[in-house]
Formats: sequence, structure tokens, C-alpha cells
Amino acid sequence: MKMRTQKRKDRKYMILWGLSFLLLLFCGSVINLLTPDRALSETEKRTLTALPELSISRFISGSYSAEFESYASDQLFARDFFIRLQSVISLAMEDKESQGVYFAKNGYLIERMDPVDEDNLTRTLEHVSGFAKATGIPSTLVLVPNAIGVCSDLLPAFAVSENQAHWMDWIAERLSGAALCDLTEPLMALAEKGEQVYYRTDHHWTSLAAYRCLPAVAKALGFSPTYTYSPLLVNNSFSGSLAAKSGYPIREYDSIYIYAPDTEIPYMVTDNTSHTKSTSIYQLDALSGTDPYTVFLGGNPAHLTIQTANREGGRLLVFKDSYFNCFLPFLVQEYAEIDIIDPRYYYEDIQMLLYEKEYDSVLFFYNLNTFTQDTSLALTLEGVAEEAEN
Amino acid sequence: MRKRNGHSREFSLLMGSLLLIIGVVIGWSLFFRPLSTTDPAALAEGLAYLEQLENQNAGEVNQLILGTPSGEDHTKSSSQPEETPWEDLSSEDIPMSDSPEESSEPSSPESPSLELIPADDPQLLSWKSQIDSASITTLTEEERGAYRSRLSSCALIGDSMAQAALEYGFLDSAHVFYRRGYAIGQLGDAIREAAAMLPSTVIFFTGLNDTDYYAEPALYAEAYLEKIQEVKFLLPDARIFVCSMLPPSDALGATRPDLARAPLYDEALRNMCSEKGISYIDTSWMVNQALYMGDGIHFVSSFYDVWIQYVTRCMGL
Repeated sequence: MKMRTQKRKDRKYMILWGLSFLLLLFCGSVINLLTPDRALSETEKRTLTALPELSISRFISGSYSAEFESYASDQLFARDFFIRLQSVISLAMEDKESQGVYFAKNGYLIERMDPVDEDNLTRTLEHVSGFAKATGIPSTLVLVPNAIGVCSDLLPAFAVSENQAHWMDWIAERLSGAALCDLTEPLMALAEKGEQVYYRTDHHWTSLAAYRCLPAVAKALGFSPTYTYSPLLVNNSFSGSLAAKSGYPIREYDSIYIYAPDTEIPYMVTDNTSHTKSTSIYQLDALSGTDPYTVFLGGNPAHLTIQTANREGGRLLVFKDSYFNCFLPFLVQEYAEIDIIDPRYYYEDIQMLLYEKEYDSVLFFYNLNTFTQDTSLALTLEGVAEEAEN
Repeated sequence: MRKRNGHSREFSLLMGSLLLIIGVVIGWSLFFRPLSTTDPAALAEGLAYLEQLENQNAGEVNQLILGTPSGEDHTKSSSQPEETPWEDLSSEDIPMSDSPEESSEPSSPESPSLELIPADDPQLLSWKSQIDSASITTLTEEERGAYRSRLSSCALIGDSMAQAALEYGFLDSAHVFYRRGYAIGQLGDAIREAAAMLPSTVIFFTGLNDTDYYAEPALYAEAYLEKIQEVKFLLPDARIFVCSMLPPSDALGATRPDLARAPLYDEALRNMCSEKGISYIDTSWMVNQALYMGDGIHFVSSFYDVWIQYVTRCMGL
């Protein structure tokens, strides 16, 4: 008698278990099918994959399935919640890495350096060297190491990444025609003093770090800094790209500082894509937007021209990534005219620009992570660089 | 007595811990806020600095930038006028067409006072008959001087059509900003120079270079609008006037169909101006085949005798 009721209860719970499981699967699928697709992720600051088009060729090649997988993962219901859940759980289990970002000591998030394609990097260096030789203009390549190189003592144990020092040397060996300015030394010195070199929640370096590197860069470019700068706080609730990318909860917000010169020299900034002009290199509105770091230059415009009231200054041509944006304030007043190009978005012909204007200096300004992965710079320099080989 | 079944304990334990984890995460997201340094005074100071930078007077900044020119001219492109005498002018260098300019946002319509002269106005009728008969009463030196002083805070911007006003002596070099052979889209530097003089009135007079530079009249109108907006940015209070694009002579138009399209471009310009509320001065009635120079593009000095009187009156100066 007792056994029969026991079995009935067992069966009851088996059914309960089974049904709960099936119900979870069913509800999960239905909810995912019914909820509309999102186009943009605010927290991750990127566009989310849309439903891919089905075609026989794409199905056979496998690209349809791959894209569908990425679509299904991007459009998962409550995706942000699950990412946060996963990162909290993994933190609890002492797993200090998420989406290529390390949860380091002292509240720092540090991005890993990805493996480098040597052929691609060689090509980039060849084009930089070729450009310098073909134009004959004094050229400098400034490379800023990332937190993974400078603040490696903060990393969790067993953190695996490419070695930045190794790649700096590798580049130094293969670069010719242009001078290399490696900012590892001044930044390490700064870190040792306990100053904040990088943001805790973002992959960029701080304005303070940029300012402290001014003497080194000025020396490489051949001038002596004329002005001193003092910091002004413009944002104290900055949660940057790494917080968004990793999904880790952040311990402390970052603050963004602007450095103002002791004497102001007025200038005019022209955006050559939107044909708008401004008297400021900063974008005030960006501070209340999704990425406050874009207060510097308003993001990454393809081609900016800055003309200043410094008539004795020279003409500078810059190819850069976003690390340069917070360094620009220290250069602006030292030149009469600066052309700033972001090769990722620049589709014009650089030959035309060189034909129209005579430059005194060319500056390539990149952070090591971006530079070693970059494919756009070589493309932009192509027309001019190839002349050197002829 | 019914013993508590092992299964039920497992089940409630699992459900309970799952709900606990979810609860903790939701609670954390809702209530936990990261630390931040709060210094409202410092923040206000920084923001004020940024605002002040953005709100500088563009015209004044432009003047400071152009300032006293340094000895060295870094630009390679020839911004200096060629030294050929005006009379020896051959037909313009028509440059290769460039990629079309991007369209910019529409500006709010402004209403600078364009003096619309009624058709039966005696002065207008007199000018018309002078043009039609090609026998124009030229201005005396004194009268020219009077016009120069009336136009003392007016800047004329354009290409060789504008240069002619300078060469014939109607205006002096401090008031004419031109680039020979350039299309409207290339006049950025001329505009900046004009703005440095802080004129209260700006008038554009350009010619046929645009018919080759812009494949479509619509692109020409867009580019013109952009340049006008540049002027507005640098000189927010200036009045802006635009003159018609005049056609080539019939003789030239027969051999150069590209230039003969000028009326289409002028129409696009006129439509754009009426749409955007920009003052357009119609000088097309001033075309008389007898008034063309040998090259069929430019006009003789007497044309400008009437032109200067007409546009000065239209601008209300």
C-alpha cells in the first residue's frame, strides 16, 4: 500500500519536472519568436544582427547558418539581463574574463590584446614607410601602449594576452622612413607614481596621461611645448566601452577632464564631410549622450581641417584613431593648420590633399591594439606609398 | 504520517536558489550605484569653459585667423590672380568636374530687403533702353567714386565676372574677392577673405565655370546653398544677394553646348533662392549680344556701368 502511493508521488514529481522543463523550453521559444528584433544595443553600443536573408548559395556555403546563429544570440529576449547574470556568476566563480575584457584589480577593466596578423601589420608598416619616403615630409609614428601593456600588474592571475612590448620592438625593427615614438616609458613612469593612466571602464587613456606624454611627442615632432595646461572636470559619471562590452558591473565611475591652455589661441574647425564649422574641438552635447568620450572631436569624423590664429605655426597632417582625440588640444595651438584624417572613414584621394597643401610634418597617432589590427591605413596611403617603390 | 518527499525538497531547493540569484542580480542593478566623485562646482566650471569655446563669434575668430598674412604662402594652388591684361582674356579654364558636393541641411529663410524695382520705374526703363540699344551712358569718375562709397561695406565674391568689376575700376581690391576659373564650390577661401573684412552686405556674381564643374543644375544649386550657409555662419548679420548666371553669347553657345546650358543652371539657382528665402537679383535682362567681349563669356565695361547701378539699387544701398 505504501509503495503504491510512493510510486504515484514519484510519478507526480516526474511529470512535474518533465512538464516544467518542456514548458520552459516552449515559453522560451515563443517569447523569443514573438518579441520584436532590436536594431541597436544601448549598453553594448553596437548594432545587433538582423534576420539574415535565406538563399541557396548562402545556405550551402555555411554563411547563412553562421549569421543565423549570431542573429539568434543577438536577439535573445532579455539579452542584457543574461549577460549581466553571466558576468556576475562568473565573477563569483573567480572567472575574471568576459568577452575579451579582464576584471582586474582596483576596479579596472582591461582589454586583452588580440593575436596579430603579421602579414597585415607588415603591409601597414610598408605603406607608412613608403608614404614617408615618397612625400619626403618628416613623418612620425606615435604608438600608445594599452592598459594591458602598462598596467599588467593589475591583471588577474593567468591572464592570457599578446605581449605589447614584443610588438613594439617588432614594429621598431621594421619601420623605416618615419620615426617611431613609443610612449611606453612615460606611461609606465606615470603608472608607477600612482596616477591614473587609463580609464577604469573604457579602453582609452586619460587626458592626464595624454598631457604627460606631450614632451615626448613634441620632441619627436620637433617643437618645444609653448603652453601649460590645467585640468577641468567635465564628466564624473562616465561608464565606458569596456563596461558595456564585458557586461561587468562597475565599481566606480570614471571622470573625464579637459585640459585648458594658459593662453587661448582661437581656431576654426571645418568638418569636410558635413561641411560644418565650429570654433571648438570639443562637442559639449556628447557629455550627456551614450559615449561621453566623444566630447573630444565629436567622435571620429573622416576629415577635419583646423585653422588657427597662430600664423607662425606649420602645417600638420595627421592619420589617427580615437586615442588622438584627447591629445589634440595639446597640439592645436602649436600649428597654423592641421588636417586630421581617420582612415577608417576617409574615402577621398590623399593625393589631392597633398597636391593642394604643403605639409611641414606628418603624424601617425595610434594605440597599439588598434594599429596592429588596422587594415584601413594601408588602403588610404596606397596611392602615395606605392610611388616610393617605382 | 506522510514523509516529505525527497523530490519536492530538491525541486523547491532548486527553484529557490534560482529565484535567489535572479533576485540578487535584479536588486543589484536597481539599487547599487557605482561610486563617483561629486564636485558640482568643478563640473560647472568645466562645462562653462566648453560652452564658452563653442559660442565664440565666428566672424571675429575668422578675422583673427586671417590676420596679417605671414611671409610664406603654404598653399600650392594659385590664389593669386594671373597678370594677363583684362582685354587679352581668352575663354576661361574650365576645370575637370569633381565629385558632387554633399547636400547640407536647409537654412531658415531670411528676408534681406531686396528692393524689387517696379517694371514701370523710369530709371529701370532707362537702363533697359540703354542695354537694348547698346548705347550706354558711362559713369563719370565722380559717379564711380560715389558708388564705391555707397558699396564701402559690401563685399563682391565670385569668379572672373566679379574680377571684371575690379578691372574696370568700379570697385577696389579691398571689396572684390574672386578666383579666376573657379566654380562656386571652390570659393571657400574667397569667402573667408571677404568675411575678414566684416562686410554688412555680401553679393555673389559667378559665371559659366559651374556648367562644367557640376554635371547637373541641381548639384550647382546645392553647392551654392552650402557656400551661402558658410557666409551666414561667418557673418550672421550680413545681408546676402545672389546674381543670375548669365548665358554665353549666341555665337559661343552654338559651338559650346555645355556652356549653352547656363539658363538651366540659372533656373535651378533661382528656384533654390526662392525656396530658401535668399535674395536673387535677376540680371538676365541685361544680356545683349553686342555687349559681349570677343570670348563670348565676359562683358565689356559699359555693361558694368549699368550693372553696378542696378545691383546697388536692388540691394537698397
